[in-house]
Amino acid sequence: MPIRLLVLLIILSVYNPARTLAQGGPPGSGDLEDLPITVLELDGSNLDFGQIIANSGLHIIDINSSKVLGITAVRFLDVLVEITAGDALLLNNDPSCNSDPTCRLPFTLDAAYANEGTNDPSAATPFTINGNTAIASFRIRQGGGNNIPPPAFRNPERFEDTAYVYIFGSITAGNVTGGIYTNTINVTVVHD
Amino acid sequence: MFQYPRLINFTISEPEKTKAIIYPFYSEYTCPMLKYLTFVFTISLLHTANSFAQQNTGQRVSVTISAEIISSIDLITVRPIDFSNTGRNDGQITINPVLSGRAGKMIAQGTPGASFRITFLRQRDLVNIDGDNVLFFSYMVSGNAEDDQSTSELLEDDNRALQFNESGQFFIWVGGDVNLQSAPPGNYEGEFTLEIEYI
Repeated sequence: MPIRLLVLLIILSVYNPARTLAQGGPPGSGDLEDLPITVLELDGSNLDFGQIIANSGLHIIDINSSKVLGITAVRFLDVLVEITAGDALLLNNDPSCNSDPTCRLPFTLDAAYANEGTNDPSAATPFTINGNTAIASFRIRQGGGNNIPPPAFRNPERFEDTAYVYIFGSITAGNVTGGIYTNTINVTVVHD
Repeated sequence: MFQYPRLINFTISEPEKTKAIIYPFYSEYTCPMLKYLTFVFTISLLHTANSFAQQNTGQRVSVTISAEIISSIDLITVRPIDFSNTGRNDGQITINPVLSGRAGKMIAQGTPGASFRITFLRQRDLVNIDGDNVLFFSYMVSGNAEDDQSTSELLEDDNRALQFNESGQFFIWVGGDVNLQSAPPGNYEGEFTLEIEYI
């Protein structure tokens, strides 16, 4: 009985059709996880709120003015995207301003993705937001009738597509010191 | 003919049995087939672990969020123009904003180091509050990033792009001239509007 169990476990661990389709060869000859993912900043600019007068309240960058990333990979690949941001922009990015309301601008992160083949914010799906962390898992190309991996292919780039991630949000300008306020948003994309 | 190893026919003590379960390669009673399968299974687990590690080696991109905060500009009037007992020269009263102690004084406060522009109407009317008589007042304005009137510069059309000092202040003196030669006696008043905006 233990031997049968072990044999079954070995078969299950070696045979994973989703992982072995990439090269079209025998099981174990190639993994989907080995296929490249490319993340590009499409608009080349940062998430810049521009000049804001102190004490002027809420300022919003909406999805139509958002920072856009393009994630290019094999179209049926599922990716997990995690976006994290600090909860405030800090004067001269000085960490001590985290506890000083006169030199921090509270920031609220928002994000969405579009995976229907076009860079179309109006068709975007919101990320799940928890605090200033946004998470979404999605297929590179949803729809289009090509969701099933081909049984074999040796040129994965022929099957590449691009999904779009939109990063936006808002800040609140209170009675703060004048100057340049910054922080960083980190985006991580992995196979899901 | 293949025969299953006679795994269950061994009689071993309880401690040895435990070792055989936990450490398959440990016990001398472990059959060769089980050793082999365990080895293959371990390798496959390592392979899976390796795949998992690759799976989590993704792409990482950083995006900078930024904003430039500028303070709202406050304009404080320190003192008004003082016309009392001024000397007349053929009915003409002149208060030099650079040289006269009668010049009005204002302080603009904003973002330290920020550039701004001052605009004002040079000609304004002063109206007799008891009648319809009007005086035409020509303003002159000088400014300085330091609180020093004597070194202030007259603000002409070509030097109105200015800068707050390190304390976020800029000092302004207001003077001008008016001709009273044909003006009936009385009280006259008017407004002086000065606009400051960041550039």
